[in-house]
Amino acid sequence: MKAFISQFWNGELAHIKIGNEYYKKNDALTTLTRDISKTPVSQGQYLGQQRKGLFYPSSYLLQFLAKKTTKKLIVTDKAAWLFVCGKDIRRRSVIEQYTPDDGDYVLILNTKKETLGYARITVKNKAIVRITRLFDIGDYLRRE
Amino acid sequence: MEKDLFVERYLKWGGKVVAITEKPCFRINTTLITPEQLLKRFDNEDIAVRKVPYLDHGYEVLTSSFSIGSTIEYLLGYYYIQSAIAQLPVLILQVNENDLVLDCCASPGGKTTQLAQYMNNNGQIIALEKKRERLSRLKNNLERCQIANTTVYHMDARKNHELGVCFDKILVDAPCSGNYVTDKHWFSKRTPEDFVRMATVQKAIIKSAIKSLRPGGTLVYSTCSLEPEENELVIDYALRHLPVTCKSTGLQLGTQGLQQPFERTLHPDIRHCRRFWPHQTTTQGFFIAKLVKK
Repeated sequence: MKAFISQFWNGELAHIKIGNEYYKKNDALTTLTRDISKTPVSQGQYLGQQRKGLFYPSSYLLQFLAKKTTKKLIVTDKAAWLFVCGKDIRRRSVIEQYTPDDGDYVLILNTKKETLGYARITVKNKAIVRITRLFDIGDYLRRE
Repeated sequence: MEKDLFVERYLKWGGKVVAITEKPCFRINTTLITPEQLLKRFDNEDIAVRKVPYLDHGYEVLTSSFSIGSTIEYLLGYYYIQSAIAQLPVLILQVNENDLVLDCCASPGGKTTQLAQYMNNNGQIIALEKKRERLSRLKNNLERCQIANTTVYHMDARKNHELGVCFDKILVDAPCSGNYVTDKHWFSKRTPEDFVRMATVQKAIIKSAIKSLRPGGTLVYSTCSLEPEENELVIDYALRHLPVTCKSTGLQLGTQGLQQPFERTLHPDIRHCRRFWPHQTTTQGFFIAKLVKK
């Protein structure tokens, strides 16, 4: 998770880990459950999980990072919909962008500035040539 | 058991077997979006909805050209698809931001996320789920709705007192045999023996939950069953054997609990329970009781 967050923000997010899942640290919750002998299966605000070498962030974490970073692309509503269906973003669907570097991880936002996932960009001659989807919030439906 | 036998059984208690088609309902997650904002977005997407009069954040879908379970708003946790009647138990529990709440049988998380919403994601909820295979749906919904105040345990609700925690409020949305509205083959699957077996589990959950409840604390018991064995007889057991009183739910919808099913007079406070016959409420069958610990 730390490596993922560092792509967007230099700060640290206090957290606890349960299995391969990360949760935002919440002292009130941990104090209450300290004396319970069973281990919880989840606790508080979910941040994401490490699965097969890739970090799968929660919607909460994506939105949190969107407030901290400039590395984000705003895309058309049609592209946003295709993105949450698991598709890459076409270059011409980008409405607003920052000055990108090749290999950057970027957050993908719709026109309402809601974060829908993240992607990796390929840049040539200072222009984006490819936006490859890495994770999108449609993952909830595909998981179920 | 034959459908005719159920028809006869329900008729004695004022019930009828009628075909009900429930419209899809949802609850707006007001911790993430205001009703005005979401309804405006639905309007732009040609989703026609109508507020359910007896709920504060519940709406039914009148028309939509696509499933409301596959929108960006749904993925962002702005609403939870939940039948209207299933939104009532949490309303009756009347949680507030400082409460410590136990949700006994939590998956898939409709009522857990509703509790968290009404607590503004403050206070604390402990949610229990006995079946491992149901835990992932619960966790997914907590994640999608960005719930921050809940700890989940893989645990049988009959042992909830073993947590050693004293709760302000407890929700027991008990496992039950269901009702015919949500399953067209329901009549051929169920017998009265199932109801008695299920009631044994329900009584054990209530018994354990009352041990975990602070004096003066509130427990709401609900099922989606129409069978007195799983409803009025369970509450009668609680009133006779546990330190509780049964209070009014404050609901106008539904009818009083059955006071004399099976030619046996139950505790007089059973009248405070609410029973929801599908032919009267045009919802699925449901039952709710509100208990307060002495």
